Amino acid sequence: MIEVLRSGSHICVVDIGREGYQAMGVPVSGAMDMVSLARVNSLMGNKMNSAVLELYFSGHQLQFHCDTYIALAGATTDIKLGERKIYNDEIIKVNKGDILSIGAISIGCRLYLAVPYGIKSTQLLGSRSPLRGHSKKHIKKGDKIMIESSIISPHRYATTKALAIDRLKKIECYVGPEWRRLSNQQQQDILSTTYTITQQSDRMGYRLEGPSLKIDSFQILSSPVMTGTVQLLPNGNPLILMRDCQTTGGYPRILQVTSTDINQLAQRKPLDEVQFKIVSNLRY
Amino acid sequence: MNQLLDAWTQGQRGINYFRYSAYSLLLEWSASMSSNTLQIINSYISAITSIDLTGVNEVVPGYHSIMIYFDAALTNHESLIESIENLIVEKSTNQTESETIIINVSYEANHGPDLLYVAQSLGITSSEVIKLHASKTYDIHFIGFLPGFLYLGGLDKKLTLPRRDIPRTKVPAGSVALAAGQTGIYPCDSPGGWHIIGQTDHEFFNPNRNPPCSFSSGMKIKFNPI
Repeated sequence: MIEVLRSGSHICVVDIGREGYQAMGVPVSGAMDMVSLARVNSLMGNKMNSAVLELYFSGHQLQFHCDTYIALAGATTDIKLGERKIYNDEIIKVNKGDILSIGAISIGCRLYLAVPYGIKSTQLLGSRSPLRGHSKKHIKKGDKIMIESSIISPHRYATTKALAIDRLKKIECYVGPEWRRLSNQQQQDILSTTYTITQQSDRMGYRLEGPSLKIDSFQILSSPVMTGTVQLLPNGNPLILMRDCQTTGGYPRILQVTSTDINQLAQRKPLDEVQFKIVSNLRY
Repeated sequence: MNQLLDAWTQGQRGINYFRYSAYSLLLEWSASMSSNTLQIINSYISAITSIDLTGVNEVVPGYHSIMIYFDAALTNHESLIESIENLIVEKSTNQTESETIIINVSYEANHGPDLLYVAQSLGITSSEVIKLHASKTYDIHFIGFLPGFLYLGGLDKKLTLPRRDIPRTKVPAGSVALAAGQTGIYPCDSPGGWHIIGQTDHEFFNPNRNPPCSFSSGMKIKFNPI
């Protein structure tokens, strides 16, 4: 069992999310950065859909009430196990009573922590990721997190690659269905703007702000949307839908972030910058 | 731009196909929220799901579109477009026979905090608002926004008014609300900008039940004042 002594920004249990319920309005959810999820699970020898902890930003403190192992991936942070400094991308033995502290972040913003066989929690519709309106959004101070096993899996698979976090990388997108309804000038403006991620950004969506760029938006009949869909809001700024996004929406869908670069975005935080770059919708 | 030409394909049956992402394909009909479009969309959904197209994971409707999520290891855009263009689509006949689900609603002032405001803004009485709202039968177009939130068609045009200036940070589960020419029921606690005119204890979504939502596109509902 792991006890949360201090929850900095927020912590949640995530896995690959829930598929098959979008027609009932259920978000897919799952880890914001799927590359790092795959990375920690593969380091630990877990199945790819095992649940892990997603630790957003710094200031977290966790105490282990059993001997176990952990692996970390994602953001580069100042991590200490007791007094010992530890690093991402390796398996670390943890002793009963040890305290894990997540200090200052230097690269990215989301750190993933895996335990052998995954975090044990209630599954809703086939996933342990939070379900809006039906499960707790975040894990709080004092909460106890159950783990499946203290014994490491003997099965070792080839480990998947770690995400090369690049906060200046232009975010690759396909054009969205309503892109053609923008004028050439508007399209050029959007592609040449360096946007800033605002504080009103969370696991549902990142609101961006451009330097006094005013693009007239319009409404569409509510239509399907997905993780990575970039909507143009009435105030002329884009909103990038993230993993916990709703399944349909009524704002123009101007761009669609590739399933690769959505993980780069997951490692950017408010005040970080975003620039879009279009790739062909046929280049997969 | 070339990528635009690449992204869209115009089909022979009034469907425009859009290659939305590496694993999703959007089918779009001309923009309307009519019951005719609803019927077309439903007949395509039943045709697509009944023949069990290889690699199709999810079929998600909107007012005039369907998104198909697929496994890119098993199929691709081109093969899906071809299959859909050649689908045998029967106009769903069971629409007219589909039973109407009755939703009991308390429109009393303590359950509908905005009822009086809605009536005053529209220049009618509260009981006229209730009568207009409860006399119609509504089509379920699709489910979105929240788990179990029904997008309903058929609200009386007389009940059209803008959203609240300041959205509520918490609209309680079961709130029956309207705004912008639409009406709906909040299936769980959520922030929201619609005007609350009543309350129901009908369950719209329960993740521990199978299926978690017993409503689907093409069904009809009616509100019953209690």
